[in-house]
Order: sequence, then C-alpha cells, then structure tokens
Amino acid sequence: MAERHAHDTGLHGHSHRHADAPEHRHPHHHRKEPSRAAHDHAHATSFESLTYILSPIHSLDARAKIAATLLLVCGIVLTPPLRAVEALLLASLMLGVAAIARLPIGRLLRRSAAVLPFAATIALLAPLQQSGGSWNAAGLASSWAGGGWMITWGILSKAWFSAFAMIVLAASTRSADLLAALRRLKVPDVFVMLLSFIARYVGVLASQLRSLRIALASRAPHLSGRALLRSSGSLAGNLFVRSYERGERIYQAMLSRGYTGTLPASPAGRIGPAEVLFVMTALLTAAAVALY
Amino acid sequence: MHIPDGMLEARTWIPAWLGSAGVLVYGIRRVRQTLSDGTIVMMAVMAALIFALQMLNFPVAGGTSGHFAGGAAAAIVLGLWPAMLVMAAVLTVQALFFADGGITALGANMLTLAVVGPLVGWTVHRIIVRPTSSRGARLGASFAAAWLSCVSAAIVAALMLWLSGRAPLVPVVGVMSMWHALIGIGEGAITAGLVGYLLAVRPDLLDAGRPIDVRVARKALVGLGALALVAAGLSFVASSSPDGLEYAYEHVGGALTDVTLLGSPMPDYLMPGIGNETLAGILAGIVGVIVTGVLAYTLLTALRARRAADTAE
Amino acid sequence: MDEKAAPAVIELEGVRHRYPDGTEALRGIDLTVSEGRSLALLGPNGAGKSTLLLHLNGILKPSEGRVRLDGVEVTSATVRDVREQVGLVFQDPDDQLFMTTVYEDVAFGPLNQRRTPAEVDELVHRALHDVGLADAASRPGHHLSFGQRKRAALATVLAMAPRVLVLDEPTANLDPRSRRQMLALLASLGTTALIATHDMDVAWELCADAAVIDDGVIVAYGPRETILTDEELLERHGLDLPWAVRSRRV
Repeated sequence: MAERHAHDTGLHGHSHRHADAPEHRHPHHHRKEPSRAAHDHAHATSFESLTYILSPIHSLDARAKIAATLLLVCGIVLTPPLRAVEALLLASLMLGVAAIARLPIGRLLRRSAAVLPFAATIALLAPLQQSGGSWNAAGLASSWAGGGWMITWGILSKAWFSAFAMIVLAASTRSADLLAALRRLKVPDVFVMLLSFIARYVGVLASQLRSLRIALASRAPHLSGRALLRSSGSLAGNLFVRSYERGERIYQAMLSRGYTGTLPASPAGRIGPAEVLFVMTALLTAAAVALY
Repeated sequence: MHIPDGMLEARTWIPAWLGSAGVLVYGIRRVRQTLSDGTIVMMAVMAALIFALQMLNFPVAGGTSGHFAGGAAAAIVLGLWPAMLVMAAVLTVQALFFADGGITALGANMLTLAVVGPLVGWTVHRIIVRPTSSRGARLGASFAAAWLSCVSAAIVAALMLWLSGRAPLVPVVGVMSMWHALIGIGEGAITAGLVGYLLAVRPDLLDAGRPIDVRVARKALVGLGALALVAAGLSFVASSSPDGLEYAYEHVGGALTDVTLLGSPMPDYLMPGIGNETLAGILAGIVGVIVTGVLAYTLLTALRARRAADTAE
Repeated sequence: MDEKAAPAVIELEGVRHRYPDGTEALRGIDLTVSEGRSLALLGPNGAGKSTLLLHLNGILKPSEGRVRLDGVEVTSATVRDVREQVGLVFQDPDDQLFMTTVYEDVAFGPLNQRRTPAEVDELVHRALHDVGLADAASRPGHHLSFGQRKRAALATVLAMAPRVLVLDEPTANLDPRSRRQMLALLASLGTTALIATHDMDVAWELCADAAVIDDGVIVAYGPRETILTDEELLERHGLDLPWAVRSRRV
C-alpha cells in the first residue's frame, strides 16, 4: 500500500484533497496556504480531509459504523455470486449512505475500483475453471456448483462492494473516533496504543524519511541498484535511531504529565436510536444478501 | 501482499482470523508481562516507523518495484512478540484507516505478514547469530532471515488462495515463492543494511545483542512446525474436495504481487499459457529445495550448538 | 537577586549526571529557581541544558547531589507530586503531542491527575484559550502549524496548573511572527519559570535572572542586567548580546 507515498517526493501529492470536502468542521481548513510544516504532517490517512465533513453519518458513534461495516462485508463475502436484485440493494444502500455522508462519490468509486485489477486477474480466469469452489454462507458445508462468468462476476462484485464499504467507513470516521471505538469494543489497550501512535507519527516519520531520501538523491543522483539498496538500509537504520530517541523523549513527556502505563480514556460517545437503526439496516441487508 | 475482501473463502479467512487473533492476544499478554511502560511506548513509535519505512521501494524485475515490508527487521531489532504486534497494528491501520486490505481478509494478512513473517525471520536470525558472531555473520543472518521470512509469508499467502479454491497448489506456490524470492533480495538487503547501521552506531538497540536463549528458539521452532502441520492438515482436507483448477495460474501469483504488494504492472515475462505451468512447477521445486535446505541447515546448526552447550556444562 | 524576598522553589545542589555510556553531562550544578521569578538558562548546544531540565521533575535522577522542590528532596516517593508541580515543556512539540487530537493531548495530564470529566473539560478549554487555540480542540496535532503546535504543547502543561514552568527552547525554529506570539504569550503567564534557550531576546524580555551553563557546569549566575550585558562572558560561551542591549550600545 505504501506505494502511494513511495512514488512521489511527497511534497505536493495531497493538495487537491481540501477541495473535495464540501463542508468542514473547522473554518480554518479553508485557509489557502497551510504552512509547509503543517502540510507535511497533514493527511496521515488518505481519507483524512473527508472525515471532517459534517453529516449524519459522520456523527454516528464509530462503534456502530465499525459493526455495520463488518456485518455488511461479511454478508457480501459469504453469499453466492450476487444476484441482480442483491447487487441493486447493496449499491443503493451504499451509495445512499455515501450521499447522506456528503462524500465525493466519484472519488470513492475510483478509489474502491483499485481492488479490481487484482480481483479481475483471478476473476477472468474463472470461466476456464470447472467449478468455483464453495460459495455459500456456510462455506465449509457444501459447494455451489457453478462456473463461467458467474464466478467472474462473483469475485469482482464482492471485492468492489467490500472495498467500497471499507472506504465509506474510513472516509466518514476520524481516526481519534475509530481508536476510541476500538478501545470501547475491548480491543486491548496496548494494541490501541500502537494504532494511535501509528496514526499520530507515521506522517512525522515519513516526512523525515523523505528528507533523508532527498538529501541522498542530491548527493548521489545516479545510484546503481545495489548501492541504492545499501543506502536504503542505512536510511532505515538512521531513521530507526532517530525514532528510538524520539520514543524516549515521548515517554519522558508522558511521564512528565503523570503517565502510569495506561492511556486515559477519551470522553464516551453514545449509542442512540440512529446508531441502532444504522446497524440494524446493515444487519438486515447482510442477512438478506447472505441468506437469500 | 494485502489480500482484499472477497478473495478468500470462509473456510480460510475465519480460521486465519481466529488464529491471528489468538496469537496476538497471547503476544499482548507476553508484552505486558515482560516489557516496561517505556518499552511499550517505544514499541508504539516503532510501529509508526515500520509503516513509514514501507515507503522504501526498490526495483525488482521487468520494470516493477517492490517495497520493504519490515517483518523480519522488526523481529530482529524489537524481538519476536513486539514485532508481531507492531506488524499487526500496521496492517490494522492500513485496513481500517486507509481501506487497504479487507476486514475479513485482515486475519489472513496478519497471518502472513504479522505472524509467519516475523516468526520465520526471528527464528532464523536467532539460530544463526551468537553473541560472538562477527559483523559479517550478523549481516548474513539478517539477510537470510529477511529473505526467508519474505518467501515463507508468500508461500502461506499462496496456500490460503489455494485453500480458498482460487488456484491450484503447485503453480500458485511456485510463482508466489519465485516472485518473492526476488523481492526477498531487496527485503534482505535493506534489513541487513539496517542491522549494519545499528551495529555501527547503536549496537545496544539490537535485540540480538542480548544472549541467546536456546529454549526460546526451540519453542519458536516447535511453533513453526505446528503451523506447518496445521497447514498440511488443512491442505489434506481441502485437496479431498477437488477444485478442478487445472490452468495456468502463474497469473495469480503475478497479479497478487502486482496489485497488493507492488502496485505496479504485472511482470511482462509472465505470459499466459499452459506451457508455463511446467516451468513454474520446476522453479517452485528449485525454490522449495533451497528453502528446505536453508531451514535444514539452520536447524542442524542449532542442534549442534545446543549439543556443544550441553557438553560444555 | 534578593533571595529573602523570593523564597526558593527549586534548588539544585551539587548535581552531577553521568549517562550509562560514561559521559558526564552535568558536573556539579548549584542553581535556584525563586518564587515568582523567571530564570534563563543559557548555553551552547551540548552544554547540558536538556539533561538539567530533565532533573527538575525527576525524569532523570542525579548520579550525585540533590534536587529539592519547596525544600523536599525529589525521590521516587515524591516524584509524582513533583511532576504535578513542575510542568516541563519539551523543545519538539511532536514529542509532547502524542495523542490523536489536541483535546486528548491537553486532557492527558489532568486525566492522570484523576480529575472529574467536567473539571478536565474546563481545564482543557481554559488552557487552549490561554494559548489562543480555543477552536483547535478537536483537530489532530499534525494538522497544526509548527507555531500552533508549540503553543498546544505549552497548553498541555498549563492545563495541569503547575507552580513552576520549565521550558526547553520555547522559540526555537519559530518564524518571526510565531516567535512574537510566543514571547507575548509567555510574558502574559507570569508564573515562576525556568527557560532554557539560545534566544537572548527571550532571556532579556522574559527573565529576571540568568545562568550560563557550559560543559556541564554553571559558569555564571545572576540578575539579567549583570549576565546579559557581559559581552565577553557571553561570547566565550558561544552566545550573543540581546538585541535590546546591543541597540542601546550603538
């Protein structure tokens, strides 16, 4: 996945994103010229700017959104190849949710289509096969004997629908909310802390790595493959040492503010009727798709 | 190697989920018991570092490029359990915050990249390196650990595709291991470079600098063996239900690395056609022999070292 | 300095610090921070400033010597209390803002002080308001500009209402406007403070007293009018005259 970051020197790749969000929670996001430093560190996640949109979907409790997405994806994955009715139901539900969330649907469709080349390579070979393996919800119990283009359709549609569902989740939920939700869903503290530090520091470290690579490229523009690998190792080592030292300072900063080994809990969200409705819709859709 | 949702059957992704979750829960308990608060904070920063280091890319073959995965490197410098948690956290963030790799496939992705990768890398490195090892031996061990970890993770991914009825066994394993044998060179070189840098600058940071506990290494070997047995058992069960996938599946391997690991076009030398199946089979055999050879060698070395240690006492 | 009028809050007595690798970063430090006064700690890079600061709230323990807060020695038994009284602001705000939103970062200290949610909320909003970031609470730290992050880092400590502020290079790497904002902000706080800096104007404008540290020892200590006008002393230790002093001489 890191390819997205890898190909650029990363300095300009993200600027278009501000334009996509029709409404921000904070007016200052519209400032035309964000400072260089802020910009380098911005967009730790690729959908981050979209998560600041104000919408009924964005304001749902993240636990409900995670549960609904999981249910829906399970439904999609466990079903035999989708029938037209099922596909229509899923498409209208997901596009409806994306529209309520005021997300740029075209961009989400393009982004979710990124799974298609991989899926298609397998799917296009499917007509050559005699059977598609097991396709029913139980999976282990019996086989759906079918083949040909049905399997192609099955693989492609499942991959795309699932990817779209995941993207709606990522684009409508801020990382802080996702983390708080995971914590309240009883994901162990240590693991949530790892996730939260990744969300916080990957941008900082990636921009340090970029500076190191630019410095390397300026001094040695034409490195052979082997030399490049060797210098990549040293860059990694250099960044490792610096991150280690940063880790020490962060821990000191945490201790200075009374850290005792557990991150304090963030203020709690609430499961209300909207959340129940959202999860129930997902559950019913998933059940309809998987069992019909 | 991020497998998306919809690619794996329930009979694969559900056990993979349960297996990875079990390993992680155990890992979290171990880490809580053995590491101080400060080391856990450090580990969290290292998780962000591994994510950032996945930016490091390198040319592989046919104009494609691979990128650093970091499982073996994490295991060598952080230790086994922290490395597993770190890799699992990276994959979780990629799935949930970036929508990269599916949510039902997350368990499978964790199994390959967060469990098998670090486990193989750590074990190989632990077995080869002693406190008295020379710098050259340490770098060689790091390279071998990273290479083997990359190839074995790929083999496990291939097995899961096969178990899901997406590909016949020999070609998919052959192509995946071949391709990752190439990518593994980059992974190994960067890992060795990283370890070399640390040996020169901050040797105190290397987990491998600590004395080797043969019992722990043995436990890891037992774990690897158990994993292999489970895989073999599952393969047996699965192969008893004929899939009838008889065609040239090197595409699958090519495409898998292409989209999920490399994000660049399919290698142009992998042409469709049945003829290549034989080729893939042969190459798979060669890779298999090399992998087995290296594993057997490291095992023997470990046993010899233990016997030497026993007689010394 | 009138020691009677201003009782000592923090006292360092013969503090030495040796790192595990054997380097001796502090070689016998005697220093006093007095109630209601600001002390500038000046010195070149590598003089031992940061090591010294980490002793003030017990993150590092002296290899020899003593650190006292209000006459009570800093030990493992008192260290938690000391950390509530002495607020340490790190040089790099990315080290201090480790949570996913500014709110969570500022709330981190008060929550560890076991305050009620309502109190925490109140403290967080007041601290953010004081540093001019009232509208930034729900933003992730990495969305702020460097100057804003510096101020947010300060807010994380202000929310704990410490008696003594300890600041490491509060103006380092700031652009001129952010630097002016930071100076005005620090001047408005008016608490007891120790400020480690190379920025001589910060020292001149904010601090009543100044100490020069070099190679792990305090080489000069006194009221700012004595220390910060001694061109020969400052130059010897890699420092400059403050602009205000220079311009007066010209």
